[in-house]
Parts: sequence; structure tokens; C-alpha cells
Amino acid sequence: MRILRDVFESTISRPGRTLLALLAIAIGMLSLTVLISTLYGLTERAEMIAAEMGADVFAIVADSGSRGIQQEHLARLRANLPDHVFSSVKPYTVREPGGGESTRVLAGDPQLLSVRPWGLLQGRMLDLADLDHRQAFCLVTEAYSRKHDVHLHDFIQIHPAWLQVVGIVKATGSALQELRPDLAGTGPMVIIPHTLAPVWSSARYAEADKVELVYVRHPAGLSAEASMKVVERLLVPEQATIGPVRVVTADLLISGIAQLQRLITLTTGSIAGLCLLLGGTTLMSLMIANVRERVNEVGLRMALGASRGDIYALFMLEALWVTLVAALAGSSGAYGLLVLLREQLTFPTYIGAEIFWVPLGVSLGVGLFFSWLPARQAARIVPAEALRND
Amino acid sequence: MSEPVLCAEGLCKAYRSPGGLRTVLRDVDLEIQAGEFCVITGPSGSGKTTLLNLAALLDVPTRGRLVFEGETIGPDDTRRAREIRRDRIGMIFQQFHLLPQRSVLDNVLFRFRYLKDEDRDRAHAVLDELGLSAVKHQKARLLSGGEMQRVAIARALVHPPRLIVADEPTGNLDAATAADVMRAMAQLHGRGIAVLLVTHNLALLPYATRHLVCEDGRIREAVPA
Repeated sequence: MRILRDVFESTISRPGRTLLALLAIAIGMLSLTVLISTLYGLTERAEMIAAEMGADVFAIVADSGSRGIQQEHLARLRANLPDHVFSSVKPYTVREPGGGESTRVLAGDPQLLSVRPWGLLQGRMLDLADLDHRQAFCLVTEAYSRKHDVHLHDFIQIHPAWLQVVGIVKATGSALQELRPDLAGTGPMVIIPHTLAPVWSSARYAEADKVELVYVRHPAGLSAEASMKVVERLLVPEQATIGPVRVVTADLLISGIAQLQRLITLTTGSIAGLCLLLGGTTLMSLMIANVRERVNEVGLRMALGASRGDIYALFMLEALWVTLVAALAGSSGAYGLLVLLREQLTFPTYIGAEIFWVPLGVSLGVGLFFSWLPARQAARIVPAEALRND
Repeated sequence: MSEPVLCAEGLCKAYRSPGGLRTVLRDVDLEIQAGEFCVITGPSGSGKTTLLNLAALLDVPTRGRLVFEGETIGPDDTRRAREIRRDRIGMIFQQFHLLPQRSVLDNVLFRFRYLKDEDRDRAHAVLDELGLSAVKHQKARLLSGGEMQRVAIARALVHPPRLIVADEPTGNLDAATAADVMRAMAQLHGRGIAVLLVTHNLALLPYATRHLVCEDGRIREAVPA
């Protein structure tokens, strides 16, 4: 305890330099934590996309600004490719009023469950009658059911509507199921008839027929590339009315996410690295100044029986104390920023204990690395000479 | 005769300097008995402080042998030397070497890595004995020179030493305060603690039971006046 008090008193005795080192390391820690969190979040999103897409499935996405794919186009595709399964989907994120938790909602059709790697655990699937009558029914994923303690036939409010749970589904057959069993349930999600979607959409009710995403499951004997070509060819005559569409595979989405990850790593990583370097060097200069100002004290400590190890420990603990406080400040700032990113910008971030461990380890590493040289200087002080030079 | 607290045989100390090897101490033989109050005087640069540093095991001789309470301390026995410094030697310096921002009590307890209740009790007792009870919670920088030196003595005494080495303990004090400090030192001697004191101040000689003179790196018994 005595050494901790020595350490504390020493660091607060030079507030300027200590604050500068603390600030730089804290910013470095913040950047590093945000970087790890976003990389984690993006990886999770990529895995979720892969899990949600499933095997033998690709998607046709209406680009922003397009008129969108209508049910009639979907009917044409179904008629021409009877061995394919098509399902239309509108994804929504519905936020509770007052900044509450947001819920992922998929507005789909009865085929959705056959193109997506889901299985029915309880109840029933959505059917055509639900769509036609715009029934306020929904399916929930097992993860949603567990998270919100929702059971079959319960009513849930997805603001502003009340929906009755008619089925609980769970992902099956995903390529990622063995790799990431935690993603097997594909996260908390609510699936509603797509005709009910305008409740959450600013679009007019008449646009209920418009879909933003069509999942296509091609037959096992046909390659994804061949299937995509056929679908694209069938949609070409409709391009004038639909507008631009993209054919998206899980691989494409994941490679896009990987590109984003590289960009974030480069920018945030550079900021983190520079801040840590600046903080580390400031810390080193602080420690060197400490050693110079405390030659007598070190000499006295050694004269009174302190070992070189004790002197190393004293100065390195001082540095660790500064970096630990910086790490805590940086992590707290990062937590706030990540919550803001997730809640306000729906940016994929991951918040868990793991993302704080690495920066904490890095901060301690920075403390040890940059204090080693000053501590070595201090430990090499010859007590007889130090006590003579006053 | 009992075993000497400190025994030096053929001590030599040389330092490298730009002009070559400079010998500061030459073949010094010295024995300090328990309860002895030994004062070393001599001109500046004669090697007094070097001898004191060797006696306090703060430095290692270039040649020769140092024996502390029967235990030979070689140049490589740094760990053992450190333990003896910590447990059996008290040091008092001309510049006091207190930590100015710390309280008197903290300064006295500074040598302890882990504090026990008995150490704290002893620190209070030593401070009482040296007339420092009233200032024990004051910061050291607020004390007078005499008080600072008495705190340094208390620090040397708090872990009961077998040998006290003092380098010009009154060098920064006026005559009256120096006399106070010397009276405190004399109390130690009265308890059977050996004292090895280096000074220029011949006025301190009445406290000594033995007077050595250091000249040109050699040491000799002073001829009584």
C-alpha cells in the first residue's frame, strides 16, 4: 500500500505532464476500443448476413431511388422459374418511442421460411390468408422469444401496432451454424406479413406491393452463377419500370464489409497508434524528468535497503498507474461513443467485456514499454553518488 | 574483547577520472567496537566520506576486506550488503535527505516497505524521545534545520541499528542547534550503538570516545592534544 501511495503522490505532483500523457493515451485507448468494437460488430454483421442468406440463396435488391420490385415481377419470375423459390422481404428497424430499444422487423411472405435457413419451433408459418387480410400476426425468432420472454399467442407491441405471435422460428441448415452456434437463431427478430409493413413505413399504403428485397433459392443442381444469370435476364425487360437492381450474394456483402473493415482499421488504427505513441513518449519524458528530480530520493531508498527491483517497480508502477487511469477514461469514453453509434446511427458495433480487455492490455504494455528505460536509469543510480549530489 | 561491529582490512578505493586512476583511500585498517563513538576529521578530499560510504556498505572497495559483525561482505554481496544497510545500519547526512512533501512520521517510516504496528509504535517513541512529537504530522519542509536533522536521526534509529554512520551531521546547523543534535547522537552512543561520524568541526570532538584523522587517503589515531 505504501508503494501505491508513493506512486499516486508522485504522479499528481506533476499534473501538467501527467495530464498530457493521460489524455493522449486515453484518446488512443478510445480509438482502439472503438476500432475493436466496430471490427467485431462488422464481423458479426457479415456472419449474420451469411447465416441469414443461407446456402443456395442469393438476393435481388432494389437500389435506392428505384421504383422497386413489384409483386407482379415476382409472379413473373415464379412462373418462369418454377424450380426456384422466391420470397419478398422488406427489412425495417423499428425504434421504440423515447429512444428505447430498436427491433429488427422483416416484412415477408410465406415463402420466406423456405428460402431462409429457419425452422418452425412452435405454432405455424405465416400464410397467404395472413397476407391477404393484413393480419396483425407475426413470427418471432427463438432469440427474440428468449430475450423478451415472449410465448406463442402472446401479443407484442412493435410500436405502434400490437401483433400476435403465431409462430416461433429458429435458424437451421445455415453454413455458419457449426462455426457460430450463437448466430443460429439469427438474433432477436420479428417477421410480419409484408402487407402489414406500411404501418412502419412512411410509404403510402398503396406501395404495399413494392418489395425491396427478393430472396431466391436456386435448385441444388444449378450453380448460383447460372441461376443469377437467368434471373437477371428475366428482369432485363422490366428494368425500365423497376429501375436499377443488384444481385447480391452473401459473399458480395461480406467482401463489402471486409473492405469497410480494412478502411476502419487503417484510419482508426492510425489514430490509435499515433495517440499511443504520443502518449507513450510523453509518459517517457514524464518518467525521465521524475527520475532526474528524484535522484536523491532514489539514492536514499537504495541506501535504506531498496533493491534495484524495488526502484524498477516504483517507476514502472507510476507509469502503469497513469496508463491505467488513461485506459479507464478511454474505455468509458469509448463506451459512450459506441452506445451513441449503435443507438443513433445504427452502426454495427459490439459492446462486450472482450473489447475492453485488449485496450487495457495495450495500455499496460505502453506503460511498461515506455517506463522501462527511465526505470532502468533510476535503478542504475549509485546511492553513494546520489546522496553526495544535493 | 567482543567482536567488532565493523572491521576494515587493507581498504583501498580508487576512481577512474579523466586524468587516470585516482586513489582516494590507501590500505585503511579500522575496527569499530559496539558502543564506540568514533569521529573522523581531516581536510577536504582526504577520503573521509569515501571511507564512510564503504563503512555504510554503500560502496565497494577496490581492494581490501570489510567485515560487519563477523560477516565478510565481498564486492559481489550486494544483496547481503543491502540487507545489512536496511536492518543494521543507520545513516545521517549533512543535507538531511528528507522527503520535503511528506510528514515527519512518513519520513521516519520511509525505510519500511511493509509497515507493522510495532514499527509505527517505535517511530512514535523515537520521535517523542527526540522531542519531535509536536511536529510529527507536519510536512518536513516546514521544519527548522535542527528539527530536520533530528528527524533524520529518528529515521536512522527507528529500525534499531548496530552502527550509525553520520556524514557532517551538523554541517548545515548553527552552533546551538548542532549541540542539540550532538546531544541526541550522544544518547545513541549511551545505548551501546556504535557511531562513526565524519566532520570538519573540531567542536564535536568532546562527544567522541575515539578520534581518527584522515589524511591523503590514510587513517591514523589522532594524537591527544
